[in-house]
Amino acid sequence: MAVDPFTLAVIQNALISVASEMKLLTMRTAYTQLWKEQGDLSCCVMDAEGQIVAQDPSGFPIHVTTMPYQLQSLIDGVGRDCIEPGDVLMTNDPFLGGTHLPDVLIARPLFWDGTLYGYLCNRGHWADIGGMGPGSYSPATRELLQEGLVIPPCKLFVRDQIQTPLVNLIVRNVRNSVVAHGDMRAQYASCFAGERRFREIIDRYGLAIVTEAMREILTRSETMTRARIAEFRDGEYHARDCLDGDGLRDEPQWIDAKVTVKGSDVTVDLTGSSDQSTGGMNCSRASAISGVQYALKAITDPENPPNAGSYRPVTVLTRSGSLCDARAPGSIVGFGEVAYRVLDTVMRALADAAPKNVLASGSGSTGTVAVGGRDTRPQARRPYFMSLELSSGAYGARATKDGINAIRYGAGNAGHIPVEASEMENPIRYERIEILPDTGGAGQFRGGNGFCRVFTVLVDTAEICLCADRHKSQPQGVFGGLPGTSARYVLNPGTPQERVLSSKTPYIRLPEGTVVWLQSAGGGGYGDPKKRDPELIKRDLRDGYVTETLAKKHYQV
Amino acid sequence: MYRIGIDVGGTFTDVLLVDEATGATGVAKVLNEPGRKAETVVRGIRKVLDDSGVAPEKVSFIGHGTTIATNAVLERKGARVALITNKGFRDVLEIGRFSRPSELIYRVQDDKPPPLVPRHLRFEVDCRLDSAGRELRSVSLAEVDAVIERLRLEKVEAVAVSLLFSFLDAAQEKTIGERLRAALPGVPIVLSSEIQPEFREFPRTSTTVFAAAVAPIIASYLDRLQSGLSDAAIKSPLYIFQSNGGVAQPEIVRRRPSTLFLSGPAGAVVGAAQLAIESGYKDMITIDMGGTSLDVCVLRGGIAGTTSAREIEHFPIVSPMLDVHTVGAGGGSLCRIDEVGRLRVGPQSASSDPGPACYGRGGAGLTLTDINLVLGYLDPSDFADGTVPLYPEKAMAALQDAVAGPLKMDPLEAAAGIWTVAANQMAEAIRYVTVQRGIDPRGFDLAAFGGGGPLHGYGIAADLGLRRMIVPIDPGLFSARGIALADFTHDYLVSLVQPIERVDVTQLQAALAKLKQLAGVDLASEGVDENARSLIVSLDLRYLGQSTEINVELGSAATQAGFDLKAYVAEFHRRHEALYTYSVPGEPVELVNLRLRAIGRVPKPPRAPMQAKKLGRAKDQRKAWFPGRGMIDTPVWRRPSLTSGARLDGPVIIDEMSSSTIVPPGAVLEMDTLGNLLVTLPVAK
Repeated sequence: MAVDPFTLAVIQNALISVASEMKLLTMRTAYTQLWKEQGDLSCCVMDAEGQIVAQDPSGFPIHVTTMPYQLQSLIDGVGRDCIEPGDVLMTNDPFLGGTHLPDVLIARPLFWDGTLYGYLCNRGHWADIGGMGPGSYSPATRELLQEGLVIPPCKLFVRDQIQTPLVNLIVRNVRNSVVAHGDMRAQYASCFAGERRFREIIDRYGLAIVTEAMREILTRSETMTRARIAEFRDGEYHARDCLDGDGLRDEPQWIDAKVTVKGSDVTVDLTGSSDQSTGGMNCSRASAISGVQYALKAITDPENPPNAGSYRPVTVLTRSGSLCDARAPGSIVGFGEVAYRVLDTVMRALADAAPKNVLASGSGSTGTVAVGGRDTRPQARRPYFMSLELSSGAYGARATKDGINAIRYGAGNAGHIPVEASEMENPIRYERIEILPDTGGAGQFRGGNGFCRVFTVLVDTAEICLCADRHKSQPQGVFGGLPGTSARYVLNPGTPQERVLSSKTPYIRLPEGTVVWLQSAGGGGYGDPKKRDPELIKRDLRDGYVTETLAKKHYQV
Repeated sequence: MYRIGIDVGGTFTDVLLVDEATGATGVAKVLNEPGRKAETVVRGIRKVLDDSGVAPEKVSFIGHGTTIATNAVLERKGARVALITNKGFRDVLEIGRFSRPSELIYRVQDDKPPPLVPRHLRFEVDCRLDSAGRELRSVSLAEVDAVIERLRLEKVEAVAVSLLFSFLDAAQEKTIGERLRAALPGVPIVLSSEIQPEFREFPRTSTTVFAAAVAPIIASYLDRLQSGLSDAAIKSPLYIFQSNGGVAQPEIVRRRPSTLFLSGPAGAVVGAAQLAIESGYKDMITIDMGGTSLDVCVLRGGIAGTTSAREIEHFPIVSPMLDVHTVGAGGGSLCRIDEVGRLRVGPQSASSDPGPACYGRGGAGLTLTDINLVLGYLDPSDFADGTVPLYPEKAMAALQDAVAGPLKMDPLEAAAGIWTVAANQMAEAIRYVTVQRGIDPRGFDLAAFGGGGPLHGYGIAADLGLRRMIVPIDPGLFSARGIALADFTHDYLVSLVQPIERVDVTQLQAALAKLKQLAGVDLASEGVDENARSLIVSLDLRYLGQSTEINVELGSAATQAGFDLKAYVAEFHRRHEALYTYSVPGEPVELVNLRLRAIGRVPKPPRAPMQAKKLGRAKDQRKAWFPGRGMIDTPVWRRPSLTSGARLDGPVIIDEMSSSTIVPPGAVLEMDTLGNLLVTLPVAK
């Protein structure tokens, strides 16, 4: 049965609304800052085969692109034939196509007259999942079990009844059980609300039309993406970039991308990347794919909503046992850093294939810094306080524009906690949040400047851990643009107690009064700095985005 | 005595005069003179008074709605504004939430708009409060003076001051503000603690900057308007219509211009609320569709919902406002087929010049107006009372180029398809609004106005399963009427933030008494009679840990004999379940805010019932398209030839100056005693 273009448009809009409402409901009812203020979760509508048909427009690429892989494993794990109406499924196992343990996937299989027609999925980053320290982010882990609680594929609901013993087991194994429980409710409730809407759509158009429309949505996206790839210059391209250390040792870990563009197909071969590291700087094959797919979507068809069809023209080759296709029981906590570097490397490899579409490298890290500890103050609301500081963000420069300063870049998109919200809940006080001049790489178009977040710890019980990158290497420029500056993580800067931290620092105690300086890398530049418009140089000097010294050095002002 | 309502639109300013005793109205429509907005308004007032033979001293009230603030920021024509904030935090305004807005996640070549204050005009002072409002570092006046020197050099026209935790203690902002006011007379100084003392530094700073950017513009406008009125010997008090749907004295608006930014669509909603009360239609969804956008609002029991925050170009504005949801769908919305055969309707829109293809002024893009013409919903020789000729062949050519050609489809079939998709997109906007608020839209009436509302209304209603559409009388003057008869509305709030079991009811009662006292003073200053006042008490509740509250209002009985907190909590659980599919009995509930809304009701003059007259005749008939029927002969009436009690079976089209009401086969059209059109739709199969 063919679906007409008008019904197709209507059904596609409606399915995107379903995913959108799911996310909104979760943010409104959640307990963790990470969701209610920072929005660190994503929702998808999947078809009966588990392919993404619609995703919430604010969904994070790294969450959604990996979701179908983990959903497949979840279905296999529970047993395809055991899935029944009234189920809600759950897992967080990163080796089953996931990201890292704190990202918990909740999926609702959908039935119509006994026929499975799709899944609603909600993947959210829990504030804590147990493990070595608050926030579950130590990079110095050698195996998954050190990172926290692994939830294998299981049924959270059976015949619409919640499995209370399972819930108790899970929340007992994480810090701040009450928060975890509240967040879990917000997550599964979104599936029920989404299902209500989805059923209305089927009521209206019939299952046959809706199923056909879901298929057609994917086909059209694929066709669009292929048309854009066909405009790229065919050829074989290559780029390498590295991560600073593996979590235990400070040696570079390489991402190697050989990219072949041929007609409307792209193959990205990552098999030349370094072996799986002994520390936490590894990721699942699914996470590596999400880095590749984000790069491609951003330079092919960024205007249209993404779905499984957008990803079909791209083949990704990985080598099992490498850092971008890690094997159990290794550690995978630094998945985000690896995926960001895959993105940077693939984007740079494609510079000659699509020079107008690519960006120079952005700040290149999630910049994750977990701060937390027992909250023993009289006004404490929870046994632990926890704050996830996101300290990396700047765009690389573009063919016609500077990079954006101090903004989230890449496959994740969590925001900051407002200073006032954080200080009211956590025993820390912010000293500055500021864009840093000269951090973006010079070029005809300048890389976005990085920024700093600086705070003082007000208690003696706080621990900090860093799971970030780019403290030694720099985000690269393209076509003659210069690299941005590296990231910097410093305790008590400018004092006798100054201590520079590695971007991968396992949990350490911070004495009361410690000042923590977190500084993002800057984005790379695009094109020869000598060609920069003098008006832009003047504007940057006036606004303090560039200093006189640097302007003299690179722009001959 | 008489009341006047003024609605400044894009091209015309509408001035409506209402006789308080009889409800009789007079209207003046004057063409806007660029750069002479205040003079235009005064001219309009004089015209309506002259035309109606009413002496200026007979006017007891002038209500004025203006989009001057919104346009100034959208067009980036605000004042040269500076920001003063804490040392180390001047980039809060630029960094914002740090995450990318959703639509930019993949669109890496697009920028988010820059803040209204460029970085070299963002200044810092080394003072600081902690999260309990205690002073850690005090304000150094020498430092403030140094900033003042810079402000002078930069010839700054307004200054926003926003310090961390100023919502807990405003003293530091006040110190800086006083110094600035003394040193820079005539430069508006706007403090975040005066504008919106609420937590979260980015939205508060953004709101303060918006307010400062328009403060000088509002001030000079009001100066000119007030002197213009006084020159014309019009001494009646002037009130300004705000985003919350109520009016306030100009002095309040000069201090807090942030209450104006979303007042544009609020006028029509207030007009609709009055319609609801007069005619007994209580639960309505209003759609106001113009050239580029569709505004949606839900009225329950004749009362519009309110909300506290919206965004303009990704920068938040926090201020109490009517809960109007806007989507990019209007008569000018462009329709096209993309490279892979997918239909797109909007959000891009043809500019008003040259406009839709059918205007024949060189526009080539296919718009919804062209589609309405092709489907026979518009009369090419009688559009806007015949003042704008339409060219069907141009609409047809655009349709062929943009959609029918690429799809290799019969043009009419394509037009019908596009129309259905557009109706669905508008219905989606309504679903979004209602689902978010836990409302089932079925059972609501659809009130359709603006040029496009009555054209698309039946399709939207059908999509949502609504039974009845109301097209009010004088839809073009709806907004001016709403403003003329707006109530005085003031919102008060105490932030309490404590678990409900720890709440001391006596203390709560005392806090409420204090708010009531404030309300009493404000309403008395506006001369509102004791028995015209109503006070609405509500509590914002949430589960301990959540960030979003549910506002619970239980009527006066629940607070009469001390707060019945048990009843509030029970209602909270119930509403949580309705909104979010679950509730958690036994989970701790937190009281966040105590709210008081004080309304000074303005007596609403009776609306004059229609003079009964003989039913006229259909002006002609034209072919119009209907689902499942194709193009069929459809009688066309001009609205003035109908009379109260008229009853016509669909298909029928009612043309009027500002719009056309489309009544499909199977539906019934009636005109009520006040002249509103009611379209009862057939029950969907």
